[in-house]
Amino acid sequence: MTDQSNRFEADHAVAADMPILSVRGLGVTFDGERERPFGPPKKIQALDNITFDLERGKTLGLVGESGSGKSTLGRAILRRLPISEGRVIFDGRDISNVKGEALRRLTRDIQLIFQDPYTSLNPRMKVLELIAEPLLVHGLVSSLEEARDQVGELMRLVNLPLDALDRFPHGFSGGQRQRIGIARALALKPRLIIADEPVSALDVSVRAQVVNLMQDLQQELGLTYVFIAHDLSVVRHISHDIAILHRGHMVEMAERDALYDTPEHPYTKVLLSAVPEPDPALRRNGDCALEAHRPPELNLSGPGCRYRDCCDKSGGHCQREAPPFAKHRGGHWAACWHVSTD
Amino acid sequence: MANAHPTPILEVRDLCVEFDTMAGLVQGLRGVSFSVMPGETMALVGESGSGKSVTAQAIMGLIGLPGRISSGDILWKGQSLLTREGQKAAGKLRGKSVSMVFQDPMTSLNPLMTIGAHLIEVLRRHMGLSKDKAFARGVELLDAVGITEPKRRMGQYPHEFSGGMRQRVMIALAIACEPELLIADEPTTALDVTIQAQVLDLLADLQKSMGLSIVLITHDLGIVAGLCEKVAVMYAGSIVEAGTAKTVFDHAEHPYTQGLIRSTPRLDDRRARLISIDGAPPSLLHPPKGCAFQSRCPVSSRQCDEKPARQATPEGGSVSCWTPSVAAWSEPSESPTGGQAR
Repeated sequence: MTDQSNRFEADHAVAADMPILSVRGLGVTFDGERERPFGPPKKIQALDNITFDLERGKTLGLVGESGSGKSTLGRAILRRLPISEGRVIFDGRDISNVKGEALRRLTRDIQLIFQDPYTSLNPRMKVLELIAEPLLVHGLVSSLEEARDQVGELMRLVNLPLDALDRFPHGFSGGQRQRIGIARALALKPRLIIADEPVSALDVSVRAQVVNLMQDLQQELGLTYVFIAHDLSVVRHISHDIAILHRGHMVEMAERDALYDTPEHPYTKVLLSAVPEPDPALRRNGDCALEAHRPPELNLSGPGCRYRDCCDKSGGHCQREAPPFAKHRGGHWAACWHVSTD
Repeated sequence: MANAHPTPILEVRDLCVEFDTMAGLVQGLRGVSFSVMPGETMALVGESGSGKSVTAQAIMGLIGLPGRISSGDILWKGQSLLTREGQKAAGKLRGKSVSMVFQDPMTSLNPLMTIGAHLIEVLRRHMGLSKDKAFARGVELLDAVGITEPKRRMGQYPHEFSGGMRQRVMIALAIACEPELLIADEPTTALDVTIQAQVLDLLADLQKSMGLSIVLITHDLGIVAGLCEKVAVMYAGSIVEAGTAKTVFDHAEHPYTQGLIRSTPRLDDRRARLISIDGAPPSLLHPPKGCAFQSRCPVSSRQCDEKPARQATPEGGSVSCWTPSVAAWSEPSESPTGGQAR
């Protein structure tokens, strides 16, 4: 326990000024259907040319709709997927190609919080076993009893009662289960946590409890988060920077308030306008203004901007050439030809 | 619209539903009363387990064993649906005059039937149309819910549709028989935000053009504010507060409603922390004798050991609380700094 926490602090001191996570030109390709039997499978580009830096102790909110590649990006950083292009640099070390024992050790530093606390916890394991499992797997403790103290400490961190240790997960509410999931992720003292929609399955009143807990833990333990979400409502409160994904491309990235106050990319504006606001004054009047943004078949082939068919500003330039993901005024990163002419 | 018809289209009076389980008698609904006027949109809001879906199921006659309606009444245009004659009439009513959109469009359609077959089945059974006429009407309906190329789509299977498209098909099925009341049970929970906005716009549009009454069940206050005129907030099997959307959002009386509104994230909210309602709802196996919200309420007192009666509010709503209209939650230290509404 002690030498592990030393390792923890020592690494912190060595490279405090460099980003803990750098992603450079990351691409992930999946094999799709074969066009003919035994023929080569069609390639599906799930992520294309993703580049960003994440500083220590900060949170990156990763927002996109289903199929945008947000979970794929999370899993690529965790190295649960083969990376086809580009590099992932964690703590100054290129981890794009690590395998075997090195990859296993890497999972101590990068952990995952799952979306659905109802299906991600084994119903036949007690809370003690669930939280101690990562410790046992990585050989940090040799028996459950030995882990009991450490698990108790983790339970305290996530505000769970100690008498919960010997109970099964079915007796807990959604919020409590997600706390168990968080305690499990914290067990190995990771430095980077990928949280894949950790509150999407929870009730509104409980959502806030979990988000606030994650913020407290970040302060207390100096954690870095990648917080994946499918809309822009909760991420504002936890993120320092927010990146928007659309069909495997990053279309905009900016500091939190800049993104909400002056969104640059048309897709970001659509996402913002789609969030239902708890204010009767902003009542829907039944005009389908968003209809234009989702044509049934997106044309993704050929040159040009990927968003061109959904965009009302789309012009000749957008058809001919894809806009680069470049830095614009106010620290905004965006992939759009219209950003500076706005 | 509503004024021409003095009797409510649907009235629920003091409805109690019990589930006889192995663990004991679970009181799913504990005296729910509300009414819906023709052309009106009402929201039932609450956390999971608060009884909102059970209410919908009771109206649709879908409460199966081990559940049963133990007391109370459901009236359709003044006629009880629970008496013997009423039950006969209800069978014809349900699916025709009252229809329901279920939460999960992925599992509510039969994967072995084409979309056309779904629509034709409903139209032939309830409207008595011939096969050809039913097909033509089905094409019209798909067109009405914004599905492109409806003729081709009629011959396709559910797996060929995206989530949003399937939910549109579900809505097309629900409005196929020109119902007077549509019950939508979390119709957008499984959808992306942009698709959610489209489905909500579609509902608002249908409501206007068909003069439909809608009971919308949701846990998201943002959706309520965007679509509904009236709101009933449910907690632990009862309605704790009801009123027009405007009064409930602007002058929430019940501490739970106040907490719910405050814990819903807003886009223009710059607070670093979300406000949460600590604790969890009580078990309905042994519901508390007094106010169900007592254990989580910041302003509870000795009086709350007794169940508060439902009382009218000055704004024309109703609330069940001993100390209504007290500002229950202290303001957070960082107050939101005037973000502009978009």
